[in-house]
Amino acid sequence: NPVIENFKSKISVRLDLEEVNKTWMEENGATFYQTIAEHYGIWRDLFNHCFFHPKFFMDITYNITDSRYMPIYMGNAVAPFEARSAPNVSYECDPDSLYTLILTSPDGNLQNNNTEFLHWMVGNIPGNDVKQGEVICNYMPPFPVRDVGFNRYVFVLYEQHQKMDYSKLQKPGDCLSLSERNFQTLDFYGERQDELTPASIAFYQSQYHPCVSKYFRETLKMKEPIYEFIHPPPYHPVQKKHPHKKPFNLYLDRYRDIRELNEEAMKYKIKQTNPFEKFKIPKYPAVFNNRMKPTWLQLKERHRALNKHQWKNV
Amino acid sequence: NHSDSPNKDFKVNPQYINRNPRCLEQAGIAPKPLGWQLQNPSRTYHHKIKFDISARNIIAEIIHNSGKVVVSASTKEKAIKAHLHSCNDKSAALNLGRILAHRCLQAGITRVKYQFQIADRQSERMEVFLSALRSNKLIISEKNTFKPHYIPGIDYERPNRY
Repeated sequence: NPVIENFKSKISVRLDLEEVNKTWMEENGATFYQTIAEHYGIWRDLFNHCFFHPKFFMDITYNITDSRYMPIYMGNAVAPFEARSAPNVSYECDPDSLYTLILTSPDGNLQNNNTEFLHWMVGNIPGNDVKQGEVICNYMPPFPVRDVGFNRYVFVLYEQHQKMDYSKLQKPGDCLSLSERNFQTLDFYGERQDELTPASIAFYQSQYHPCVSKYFRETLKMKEPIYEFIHPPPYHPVQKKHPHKKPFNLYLDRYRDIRELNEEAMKYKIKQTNPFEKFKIPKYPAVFNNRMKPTWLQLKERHRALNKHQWKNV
Repeated sequence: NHSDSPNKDFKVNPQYINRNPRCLEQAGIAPKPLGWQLQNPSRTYHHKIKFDISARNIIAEIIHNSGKVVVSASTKEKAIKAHLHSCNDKSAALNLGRILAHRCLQAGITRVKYQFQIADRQSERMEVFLSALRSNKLIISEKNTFKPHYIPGIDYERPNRY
């Protein structure tokens, strides 16, 4: 049946993704990059809400093995071991002009939460050739710390109007000292506004991986920091003197000082333990003798045995 | 231990603030806006799919719960329109799915919510679009947010919501 065959053939049309991507990037790529960068807070953190539309796009790839590579777009997740060596950066540009490439991480600074950490800086790049540029700060791989979430690593490419003198920013050859790599894009660009214009941007995200521990231990030779997430304090409505239909024991416990509650819980636990005997886990911890006890006391003992409420961390 | 290390005098900040605004969402800790329960559709998501079919074109977008359009793909674009015979049919839906998934992965968005509507059960274009997203490695469900267990007591010395 020609009608059904025509219908079937329509669904099998598949576009060439690379071709479509190429034409789309020429048309809408700059606004796409700008939107994504704003969504990830890059303009807010690097340039204090100032933004630019990238003039052209960098083709950045990390070599994993001889045949495999990891490309960098705008925010894709990259493991730290994949980014252990400097990436290959290429872009289409005027071969006569000079460029500066900076790789910073706004979340990577372990001393100050409001400054960035400089991973790589190459200045006075002639045209396309990053390897012939002046290495002001050698490449350091990303080291996102444990339990901290995804960190952003941003590549910014600036076009230079003249040859720049970065001797003040020059770091020693193999700079492994973390305190020397404090960086602030706003200050850097603010001083050189007349000589530099930002031309391109790209970034990736990275999360903790055991290779980071190894990096801290062997290369940076320092203790690896481990952080624990602190949840925001829970919401409590304003305390009333005569709350309607609220259990008095739970209501009053909610407004007590948490240190007092923790102290009581700890004292109870210490009282139960005998330092000269081995600790025995009770076989049926939730079984109680509830005879002649008020319900609030029954509930308290149940919570205590099951490690709930203020006895959770005991 | 490391007396010859370049970082022996380095003091790490005891407080660390990750300024990445998408960090908590990706970890499954950021709360989803819960207050729209009496309205349909709700806003309990971080990123959702919007699939809009009009008389001549299809628009597919990924929208954040604040209302911002993060990634979009539509058959109105020159790049896509040039290769399609019809901008409205199943083949267009399938190709939009592939392209949107590709752009989402470029942007670092791996999990998206799809709000099921009863009318979508009969829509074959929607079905084809979603299966294209799935086969191009975009996960169409979001993580449930983790909320710590209730512990009574207020720390009056710290800033708190009391």
